Amino acid sequence: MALRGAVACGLVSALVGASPSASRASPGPPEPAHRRVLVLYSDERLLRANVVFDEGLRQALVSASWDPVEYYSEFLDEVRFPDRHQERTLDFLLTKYGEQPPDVIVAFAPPSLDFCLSFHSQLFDQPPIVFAAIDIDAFLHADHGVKVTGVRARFDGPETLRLALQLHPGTRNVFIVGEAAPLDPARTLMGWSDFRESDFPVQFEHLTSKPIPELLDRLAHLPDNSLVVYQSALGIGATGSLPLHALTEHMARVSRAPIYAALDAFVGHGVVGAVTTPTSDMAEATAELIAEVFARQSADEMPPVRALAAKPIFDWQQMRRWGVREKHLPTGSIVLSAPPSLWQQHARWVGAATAVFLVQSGLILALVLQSVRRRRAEREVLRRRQELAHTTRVATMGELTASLAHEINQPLAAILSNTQAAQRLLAAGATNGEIREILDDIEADDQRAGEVIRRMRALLRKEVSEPVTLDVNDLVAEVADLVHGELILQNVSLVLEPSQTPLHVHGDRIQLQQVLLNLVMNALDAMKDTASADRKLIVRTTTGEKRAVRVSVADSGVGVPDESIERIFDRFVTTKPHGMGLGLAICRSIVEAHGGRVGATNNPARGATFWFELPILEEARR
Amino acid sequence: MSNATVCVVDDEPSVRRSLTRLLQTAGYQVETYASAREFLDRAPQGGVRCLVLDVKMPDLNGLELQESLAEADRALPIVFITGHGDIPTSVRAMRAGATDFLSKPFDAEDLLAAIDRALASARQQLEDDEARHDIEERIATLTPREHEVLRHVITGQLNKQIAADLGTSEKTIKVHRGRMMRKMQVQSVAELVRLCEKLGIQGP
Repeated sequence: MALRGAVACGLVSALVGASPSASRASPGPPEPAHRRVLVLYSDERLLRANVVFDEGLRQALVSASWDPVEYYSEFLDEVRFPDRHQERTLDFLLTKYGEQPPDVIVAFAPPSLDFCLSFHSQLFDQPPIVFAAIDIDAFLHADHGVKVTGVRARFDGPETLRLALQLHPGTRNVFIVGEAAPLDPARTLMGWSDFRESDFPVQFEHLTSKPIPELLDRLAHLPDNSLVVYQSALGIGATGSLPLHALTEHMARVSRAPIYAALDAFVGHGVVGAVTTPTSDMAEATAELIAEVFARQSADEMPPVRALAAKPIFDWQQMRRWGVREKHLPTGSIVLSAPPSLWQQHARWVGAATAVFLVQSGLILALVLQSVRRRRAEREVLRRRQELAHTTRVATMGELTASLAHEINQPLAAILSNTQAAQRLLAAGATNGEIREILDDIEADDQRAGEVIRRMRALLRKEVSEPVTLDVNDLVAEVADLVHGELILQNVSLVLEPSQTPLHVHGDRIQLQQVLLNLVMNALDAMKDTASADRKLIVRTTTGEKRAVRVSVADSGVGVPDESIERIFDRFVTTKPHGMGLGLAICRSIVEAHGGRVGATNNPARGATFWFELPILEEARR
Repeated sequence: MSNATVCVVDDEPSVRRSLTRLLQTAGYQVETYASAREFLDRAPQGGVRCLVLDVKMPDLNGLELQESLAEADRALPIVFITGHGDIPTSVRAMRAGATDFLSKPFDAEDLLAAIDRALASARQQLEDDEARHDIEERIATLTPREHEVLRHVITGQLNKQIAADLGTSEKTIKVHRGRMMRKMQVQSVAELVRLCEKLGIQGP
């Protein structure tokens, strides 16, 4: 490539590089300083097909591996300037390019080729002609005595209609817009020459030969389930002022039905799609043919005509408008004007963003799963703790059986004695007053027995009760009732020192009763070896530190060994010969679940004091 | 029967009230005490009385009261009642002389039967006490010589043997013996022996 500048001046070296033996064997015509390519377009400059072909051809020529070419393009605009325009154009071309005649002329579309063939003898030095965008056999087979090759395109009208019907199922009517009286069917009906209406199971109607305003009006009032087929190659009703593609754009704007055509010249100008050779394919093939023409050994030898296949080509805007989904298109379809996807535009950013998103999603998912697992585990822990608490409650109640039996048998004994006394009194003719007194006593005793059983059942109940606001002094009284019999049995005197004012906390009554009951039962255990007269239990409720309620249970028992007192609330730590070490651990877990704390200290004189604190419930929050 | 008194000791007011009613319908005098201590301090002694005693009470319990009474020589028939009667407690109570041991709740008939037994025992004891007291009074009237003769007589010795033992004449013994038998208000040796057995007086 570094040689390119030098080569541009010394022209031969390029050809030598390309085909050194050929240039030596036959000198041929003197090599021009630059290869010139003139493209003659049939129509005006802005037709989409022309633009696409022009860009494609230039690019293909530049990227080919031979020397730079000078590239020119002219537009015959043949449709808008009929009659004697051809001669004027020839004069213009000869004048314009006389000093620097083209080495090859590219004829794009039939009118251009027609022009080239008609005036070939007058065109400069009769350069070889490479045509494109032509599928009419008549041109190809005629011997024009001209050096012609080209790219044979395929414009497949019937296939276009077949595909259109497939994309718009339920279509009943097809409206055909075409030439009223084609001057030359071979040219004007490009792509539709072998179209037979009878091949299609739909109703055809011809809107041909309508004046344009009427045509547009018809299109604006088409029935549902219709299709429009545009069969003209030149642009109907061309008045000379309208560009070739303007009509299809107008039609598309008003039409109630999608419009299909056989030429991709109209795709991008209102037509939904066509089955045709893509212009870009033609540009590439044309560039290759030009390269071959330049590289040919003999001036008379022309490379053979290339036949290109038709492909379905669609306009993205029109597809959107008529609801044609890209996934329904046949494979290999080309969609023009499709906005580049986000991915195509910003692959790196999209990739990075997607990666970040995925990582985040993964993280979130992981966190959610972790949270779900943790919540499940927490529930499990709670359930186990409740079960354990229940089990120890049952065990404690087991220890209390004797005293509870006493508690219940007392009133039962009174009831029975009262009943039998009443019977005797009645037999002896008692007064109503006496009997009423007895019945009152019986009722009171019955309620007492019922109360004992109710308390017992509450403690034995497995399910969790709702947290309530309660006065710890009530709590102490309830537990004192519960252990009343036990205290008598064990000859322990109980001293209650409640606070002067109610101390409210928020919590589960049964669980808190269990805590206090446990502490009391432990205290009783600790006093087993204390002389009967010295067995003393003091239960106090006070205001503790930091707005807390403190309930303490002091005994006159053996106390806790100093080495154990720190760990006495830990699980499986016990100072009793047959203890499991669970009671106090459960006390702690219950109290901590209530936002409180537990503790134990040995008393100065004898025994130990166990206490728990709960957050005090402020007046306002009750 | 109306002179018999039943003392109810129970810390439970409702039990005390119901028992009072029941026992009164059965025709007993009823005294109630809320604790063992109160009974010890306040209960009168004498007469035909029995105790209906709760085993389980704060402070001094039923068994401890039983011991205290025995120690103070104030023993009286006891019917124990308990809310939760375990075997060791009942055995201990019965060994210490309890008449009956009833578990609450008990049938009135059972209680009344137990009280009847206890009162019968109390009555018997009272009679025994009175009898013994009478004998003791008679013995108190004996001279030392007559007392000595009595101890020999109850062993079944003849006057000659007693005289030999005491180093005196058979005739003297005969005089002492006659006086002693008169003072003791007995007709036969057998009768004398029965009286002395009641007081636990044995031969020399």
